Amino acid sequence: MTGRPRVDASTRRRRVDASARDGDVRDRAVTPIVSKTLEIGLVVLFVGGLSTALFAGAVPDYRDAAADRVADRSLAGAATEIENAVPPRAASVRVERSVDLPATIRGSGYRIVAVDGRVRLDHPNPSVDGSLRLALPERVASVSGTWRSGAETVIAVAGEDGRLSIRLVSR
Amino acid sequence: MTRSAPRRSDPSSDRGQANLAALVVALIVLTATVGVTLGLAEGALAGADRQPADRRAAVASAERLIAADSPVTRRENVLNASALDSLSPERLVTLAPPLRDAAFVVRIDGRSVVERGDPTDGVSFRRIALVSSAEERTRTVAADGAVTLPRRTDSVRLEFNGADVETVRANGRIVLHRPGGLRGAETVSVSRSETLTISFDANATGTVTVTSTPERTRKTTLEVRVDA
Amino acid sequence: MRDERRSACAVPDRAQLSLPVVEAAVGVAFLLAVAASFGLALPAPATAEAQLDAFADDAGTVLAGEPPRHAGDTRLGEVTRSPAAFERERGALRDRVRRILGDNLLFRVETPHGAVGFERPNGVATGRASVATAGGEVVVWVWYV
Repeated sequence: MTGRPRVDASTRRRRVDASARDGDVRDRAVTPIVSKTLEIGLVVLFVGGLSTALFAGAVPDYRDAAADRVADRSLAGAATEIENAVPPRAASVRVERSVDLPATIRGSGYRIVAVDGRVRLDHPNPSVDGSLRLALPERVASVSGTWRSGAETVIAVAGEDGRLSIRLVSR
Repeated sequence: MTRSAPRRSDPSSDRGQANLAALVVALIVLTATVGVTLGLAEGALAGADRQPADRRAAVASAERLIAADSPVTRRENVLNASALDSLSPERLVTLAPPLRDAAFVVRIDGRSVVERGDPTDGVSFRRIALVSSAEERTRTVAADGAVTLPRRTDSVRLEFNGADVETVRANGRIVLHRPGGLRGAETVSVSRSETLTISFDANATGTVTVTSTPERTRKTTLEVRVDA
Repeated sequence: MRDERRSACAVPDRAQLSLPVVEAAVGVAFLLAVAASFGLALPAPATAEAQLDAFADDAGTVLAGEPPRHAGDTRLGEVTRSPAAFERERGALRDRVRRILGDNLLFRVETPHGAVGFERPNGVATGRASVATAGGEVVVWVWYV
């Protein structure tokens, strides 16, 4: 019985002491709650700022560069397939060979157009494009047609010896 | 009795200040790491470039060079030695349009045959081919007998000045026939797979000059290096 | 009393100061792990296989265009004519293919009557080409030594 008031007094004293100390220091530094709020605010600001900087600047540039590389390789693969589709010399030929193209580049479809002895890749994004010349034997008289990505893309070779025509067909 | 507490700062306020400073330092370190990561990404992107256009140009040009209808081959994968020597860069570009704006070099067995510019940073592609040099062998044959040519050839030229021949047989098959007698010179294509025996008709007289072109082939490596 | 107070305040003191450092270290470790994945080597065998396929195709073309040693339409036709012809010609075929391909390439030629050459290894880039002959299909495999 006598112990309890003594404890109470000491704790009360401790509490009083603590509040007195806090009062002393309040002028010198911030309280824990305010500091935590500042920390949270700082971290949120940091994350927001970094995300903005990355997604507005660095990330689209890298995506464009990767898309350009994919387009280069797809176009080179398509040109090689066209060149390999020419059959050996024969009286009359009709060949159909199907070709695999990536469905989208940089999230959107594209077209591969054959014109004037070249194949060209058309894409909505201006930094993604390419154009390659075709190396075909003299028997090939013409190359024409368009491939749309996502469609069933086929090379159709037809004609007689000396006048082969290659068409890029999208079905 | 509350002795006035020694004026040492409350640890909780220490926490507040030190936390903020440590946080700022940590954020700076994170930003620096993001910068380092972006640099590594740039390096990885540059290192992943395998030059697809150059590679395709090398493959297509090599294929055009050793194809059956190429001006420098006798038949598929067999190069004509003399035609190779007379190949110029412009003719090669006409043959393989992907080389139009590129530096390239074509080597046979390591020796450069056609070159333009300096393609050291480019991509090279190799094919295995035979180089054939054909020389003409001429012999004079009596028309009343048959002759077997020791080396295989793909064509034979016969000159009938000074002979009276109506029929020529190659390995038993009639290849030339003219009832009034053959005149001048005639070239006959024969199969390279068989040894050739030429015989004439029974009433032939005189001597016939037979010219054949046996081939000598040796194996080579054709290398095309392109840098666009 | 003062001791209790000191000990009660000392423990939180240690933990709070080091936490941002730990967090920063974890964040840096995550970022560097992502960056390390950039450096993973890309596979190169696709280009090596295209080159080996071309070599195999060339070997097949050269063999298919060569005159036979004895009888048959071409060297390959002679080898695939019959099992007896294959047994007789297999040594010459192996020598000829070795001369065509050179020293740094190993090969295996499979015909309907048997095979000549080396065993095909696993896990190594190999090139393949096939030639159709009157007696069946001949497949040529080529790989680097």
